[in-house]
Amino acid sequence: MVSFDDVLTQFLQPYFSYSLVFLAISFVCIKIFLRFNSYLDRRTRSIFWLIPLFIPVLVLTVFRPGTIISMLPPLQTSLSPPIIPPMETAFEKMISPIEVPSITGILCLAGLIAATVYFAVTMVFGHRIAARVFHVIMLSPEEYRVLQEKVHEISQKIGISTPKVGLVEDLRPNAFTLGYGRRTVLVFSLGLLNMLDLEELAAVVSHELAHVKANDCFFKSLSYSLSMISFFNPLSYFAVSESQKERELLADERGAKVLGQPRLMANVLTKIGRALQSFPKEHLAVQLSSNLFLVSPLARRPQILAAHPQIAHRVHNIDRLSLKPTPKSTRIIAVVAVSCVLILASVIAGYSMMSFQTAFLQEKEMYMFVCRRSTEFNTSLENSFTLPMETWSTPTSAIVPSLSQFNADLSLGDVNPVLNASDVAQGGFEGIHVVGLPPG
Amino acid sequence: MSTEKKPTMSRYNIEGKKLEAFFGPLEASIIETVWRSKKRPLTVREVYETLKKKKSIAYTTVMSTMDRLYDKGLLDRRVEKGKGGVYYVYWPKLEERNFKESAIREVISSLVENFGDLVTSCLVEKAATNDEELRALKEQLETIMKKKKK
Repeated sequence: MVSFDDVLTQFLQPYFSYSLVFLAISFVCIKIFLRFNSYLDRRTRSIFWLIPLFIPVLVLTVFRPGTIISMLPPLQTSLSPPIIPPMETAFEKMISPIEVPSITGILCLAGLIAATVYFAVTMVFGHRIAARVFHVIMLSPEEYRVLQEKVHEISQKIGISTPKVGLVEDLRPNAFTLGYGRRTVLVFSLGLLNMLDLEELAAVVSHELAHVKANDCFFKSLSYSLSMISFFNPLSYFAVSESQKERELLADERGAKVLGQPRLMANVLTKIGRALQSFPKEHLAVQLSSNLFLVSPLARRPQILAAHPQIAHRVHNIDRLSLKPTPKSTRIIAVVAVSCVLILASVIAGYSMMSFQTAFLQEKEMYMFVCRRSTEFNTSLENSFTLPMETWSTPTSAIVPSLSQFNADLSLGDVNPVLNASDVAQGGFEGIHVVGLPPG
Repeated sequence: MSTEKKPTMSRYNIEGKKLEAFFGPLEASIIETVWRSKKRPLTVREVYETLKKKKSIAYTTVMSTMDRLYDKGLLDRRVEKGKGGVYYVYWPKLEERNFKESAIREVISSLVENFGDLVTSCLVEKAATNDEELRALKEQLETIMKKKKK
């Protein structure tokens, strides 16, 4: 039967609890900080949103997941007197059963492994997998020649090498980019090519090429991998959603600037958004990869988890491009003050969390007492120390008061199976071996 | 989405081989691919990938040709939702044998309408070059006449 204390012990393991709490603290801090820093550019804002996602990585670097020292009751059952001869096997028996795997540690390691695999796979094979899933058809230079010329022209303007152009048979109007570097493919849906004229398509092209220029393929893989590390924390999904939204707004802004017609970009987004509303519910593959598209095909997805901002917000963002406020000195002072308060609050919250966690684990720290002859003490054993024999001359009754100096939460019943009066009466013992961390 | 269009034959090419007597070479390849395919209905991409194995061809060419075959009423289509999104799927309006029968009837009707009995005698001459074939033709005619009397 798992007790509440056992569950709490699992949750309060530093690699798990610190990762949860510090991610939450940093998430709230970034949210408030960015709210007061509306003039920060989109790129910086998107990078800021990665900070909460990096926290669990740092925590895992400092606190490595391991085993948890178990409670004494299971140990007592595994130790039946006489325990002394042969000493080596008896000692091993005592040590091995008390280490139990940490479930939270397993969760952390699973997240870390999944994130590493995901990142490697998406970076190396991502474009091929997506091309297969969406049945991307690569266009020859003769097909949609005018569009391909436009792609070349805008690529030159942005300063990147011209990507290949692909097509999907999807009748819904949308576009997305696959791969990076030389492997970049700009994919248009048939619905989009049928719906938009060349001028409007140029707006789509400039948005997608802005993604290419900003290395969003890498950014997307990285942010989703980081969120996988703490997959058990809902805030990680919110953080990755926020960072993706910033990236979309950045691509809108850059695309509109390259195009030189912000209003056209806004109109195209509105047109595509409206057209997508008339299509049936999305297939699973589209749902899972909705973050790829120019406009999210998921009309029913909660905005808090969406990878795309709402169309109205994007249009508003494009419209105010020319009206960006310049920071005033009073505003800068306010921002610095808010930042200081946030840093202070997060330090206090972090310290409180660490104090609570340490106090709880120390209170529950277990000690195992092993009666050893002086020659057989294993001094190399980690987290162990020796209690001199003189401190407990009368075993069974005197042992507990003498151990109270270590603040050990023990009763007579805990010690008896390991050591009893008759064992001690045989003599030859010079001390007891205490396994566990001494408090304080 | 499927429409009730009647298949139309706009021309007969006297020099064309087999289906190419009725269609252009690409149209004939596409309609043949659709007839022979075990999977139905088919997307343009699937037809394109089958044809690509035989000859170099552009996707957009296949797409526009299939669109034309749909307009002629030879292919039917509907919108289907799948993992690749929402797309058109196509299937033949008439099976191969039905199509050929219908096309031949149309051509012969046109010839008879324009040239009358001359067409019939030409057909008989072409179909039966010796006595045995003439007898077989006579038997076929008698069977048809009996059926009509009933």
